[in-house]
Amino acid sequence: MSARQVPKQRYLAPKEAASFRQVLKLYETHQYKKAIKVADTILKKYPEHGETLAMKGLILTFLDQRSEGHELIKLGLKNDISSFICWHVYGLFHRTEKNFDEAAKCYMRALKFDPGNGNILRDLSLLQMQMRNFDGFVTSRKQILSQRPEIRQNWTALAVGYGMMANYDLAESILQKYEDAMTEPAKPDDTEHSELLLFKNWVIYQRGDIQRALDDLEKISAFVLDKLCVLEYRAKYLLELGRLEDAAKVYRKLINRNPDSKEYFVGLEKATGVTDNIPRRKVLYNELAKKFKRSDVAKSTPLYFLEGDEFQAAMSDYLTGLLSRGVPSAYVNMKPHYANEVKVKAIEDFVLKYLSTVIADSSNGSPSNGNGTTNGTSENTPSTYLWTVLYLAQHYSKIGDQTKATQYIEKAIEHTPTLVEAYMVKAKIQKRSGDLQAACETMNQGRELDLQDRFVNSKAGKYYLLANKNEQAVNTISLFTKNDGPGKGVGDLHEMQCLWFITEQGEMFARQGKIGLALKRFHSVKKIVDDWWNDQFDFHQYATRQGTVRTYIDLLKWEDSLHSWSFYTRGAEDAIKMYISLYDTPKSARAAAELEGLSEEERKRVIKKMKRDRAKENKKLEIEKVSEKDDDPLGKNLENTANPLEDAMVFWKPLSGLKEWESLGEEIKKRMDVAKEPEKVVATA
Amino acid sequence: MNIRQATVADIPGMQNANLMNLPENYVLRYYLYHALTWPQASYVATDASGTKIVGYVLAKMEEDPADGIPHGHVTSLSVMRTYRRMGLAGKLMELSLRSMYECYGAQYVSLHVRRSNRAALHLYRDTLKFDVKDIEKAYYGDGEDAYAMNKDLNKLEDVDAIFDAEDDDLLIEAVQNLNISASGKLISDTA
Repeated sequence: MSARQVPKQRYLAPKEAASFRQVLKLYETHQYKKAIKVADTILKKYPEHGETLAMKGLILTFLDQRSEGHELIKLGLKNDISSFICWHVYGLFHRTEKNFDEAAKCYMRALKFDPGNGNILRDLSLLQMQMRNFDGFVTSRKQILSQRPEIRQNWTALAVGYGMMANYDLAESILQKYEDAMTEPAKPDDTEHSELLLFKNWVIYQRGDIQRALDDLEKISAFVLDKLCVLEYRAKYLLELGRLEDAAKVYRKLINRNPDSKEYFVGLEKATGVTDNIPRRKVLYNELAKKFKRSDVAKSTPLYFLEGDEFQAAMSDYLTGLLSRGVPSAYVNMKPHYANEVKVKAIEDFVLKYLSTVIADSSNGSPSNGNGTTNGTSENTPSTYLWTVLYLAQHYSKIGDQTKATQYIEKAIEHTPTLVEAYMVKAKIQKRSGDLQAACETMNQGRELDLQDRFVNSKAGKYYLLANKNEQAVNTISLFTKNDGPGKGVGDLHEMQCLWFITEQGEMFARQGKIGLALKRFHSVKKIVDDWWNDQFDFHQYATRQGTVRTYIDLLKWEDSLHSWSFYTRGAEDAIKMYISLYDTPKSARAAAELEGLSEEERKRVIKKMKRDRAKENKKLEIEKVSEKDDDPLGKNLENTANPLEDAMVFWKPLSGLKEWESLGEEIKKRMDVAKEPEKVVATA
Repeated sequence: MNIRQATVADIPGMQNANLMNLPENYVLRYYLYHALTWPQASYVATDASGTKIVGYVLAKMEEDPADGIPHGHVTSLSVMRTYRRMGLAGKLMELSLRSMYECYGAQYVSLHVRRSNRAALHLYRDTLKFDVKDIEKAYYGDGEDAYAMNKDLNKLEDVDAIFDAEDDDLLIEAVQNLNISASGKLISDTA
């Protein structure tokens, strides 16, 4: 800069120039009010000074004066269009607006006027990562690295960039270069170093050179703090290299650490070559179950690959254990087997027989282990009967026999009227029988038996929503939420991103024909998931500084798939369908349909009722309102949209490219094409 | 049932379980912060299908320990009611404690329990051998007191060493047994 002449519009006398530097410093240290004061003294003497105006504008946006700040930034830029500071400031403004494209453009302009500015390059690189512009990212990071090669995170960031481009060769060489240049050895508790060693090892593995990845792993293992990860990588590499005996040993070690990890058991299966050999596979699991008595995986996995008598024997052992211990999840543990009819029958036969022995034993007055033998090792308790009938209730409900299910659940409740689980099962049976009103009352009975437990509270709330009872639902869930905001607990659940509730409530509103409110909730779902996407921004810099870049790469990939998860697609599908029906049946037609075929008298009555309902709705505003700033709590603006198809498109866009959502997109596009034809516009207007 | 280290993709499931079960809730960004600062500290339990998170422990290192001793802190632990009595909470905790000890040098780990939560108190004190250090008045938003509990991690046994000492012969024996049982008609075996 010094070599260049300072343009006239940017000139400040030495005193004001010092003040400007002070403004920058105050801004960086978040002393916004002071910064404004100093900026004002500069503006007194130089009211047109672009960079000062822009800085003041930026700071105002942090003081909740966004529009005023925005105007000042634009004015500053107008007054000094070749200032890198003004462009940087405008870029920062766009960034806070989450307008990443515009922000990046501004940074590029800023760099034109001050090539190589480190701060701007760094900010630009963060945006490039956010937008998955890996080429741009790598270009920026290379420049940053050449400026500050002594900082490790600059090497890390560039390697991550290459990693995201699947250019693992370059990623490895960048990481290696830094290590080679390290002048002193890392401290033994250096977690960043430990993570980066593992990152490099991961990169080598990604290159496909497994032997070298294994050699590297042995070399670094003494410096890596994450012992578990070393074992996991070692086991995987050995397995892939075909060194099965060695791999088996490491998998045993891993199982010893965590005998409830399916992944380790699968690894050991492969390492011992038993995967396709059922008798040997069975022996393996038997051995492991003997050794790891608390392991559910060891006991339950054989149920998946055994058939016939062997299944029968393993299943009855497994279920006996669960039922005699009174494990509430006995049924959910067996659920995957319900896809297999033969196994379902075997389970049913066994549990019925088990129940009869339990009953027989208890009427004999002797403690029972349920399977008729008296080996004395049973932990059987008087409640075994209870858990067994509870199991049968769930079993029959699952296979569609709600009558039998009801008989068994009544037995359970009769035996112990205070067991919350029994009411939860009964409610589910009633739900499956189609009696949603009874189901929610039953769930609520269960809730009342344990007011401290939020789980059964959440279930009661959900069942009220399913029964279209909004008020009870909101009152119930509000027993566990912060209720100082508007809308009782619903506001808190929005703030805490509680998607299950928002989606269920939206679907309830949709069933009730409350289109505005339903859309409101579906938009909330989208906003929350969009916020999750934006959340990654803070971690682009953070993760490279921490060294946790393997997790960070997971984060980037997960964010890219974010909108394909059901927590988004369910609400999005609801919204899209609703918008399509808004398009197919415009408001006037909907109103007309309601009045069609009615006499004058009836029409008047219906219209009067509509008015009355609206007045009632307005009274309920406070309940529906979920944030203070909301000026359309009933979503009327959403409902009265002029462009329902475009609104539907907003929900569909993140799903584009996903096969299963193609046809839904077609539904929108088909209508858009029709709408484009001029004569049709006239026809539907 | 499956228990493993938590990944980024597990986070919405953890948040969902937390919102279903507990009154203290957090936005997703806070979970991300945990994951990208202490990626090894948190664990999840899934249902039999492997897709649904039914329990989790969210843990971290204390960032500015007042006593100057590096130690861990359990931010949140819960298991869905329908999956209780399987020992999931205890297993999740044990794995998390070991990770905090090994990866971050945690000398001890601290946590808070609601005074009225007898099941949790039982788990921490009797099963996991935590000590009650203090009672913090009105610790929770609703005014309830908390037990502040600690567990010394220096007494954790070296799990791999134990394995090496007594397990190898068992392993060999098991493999031999497998070979014997495979020696008959089971020739289709491919490694």
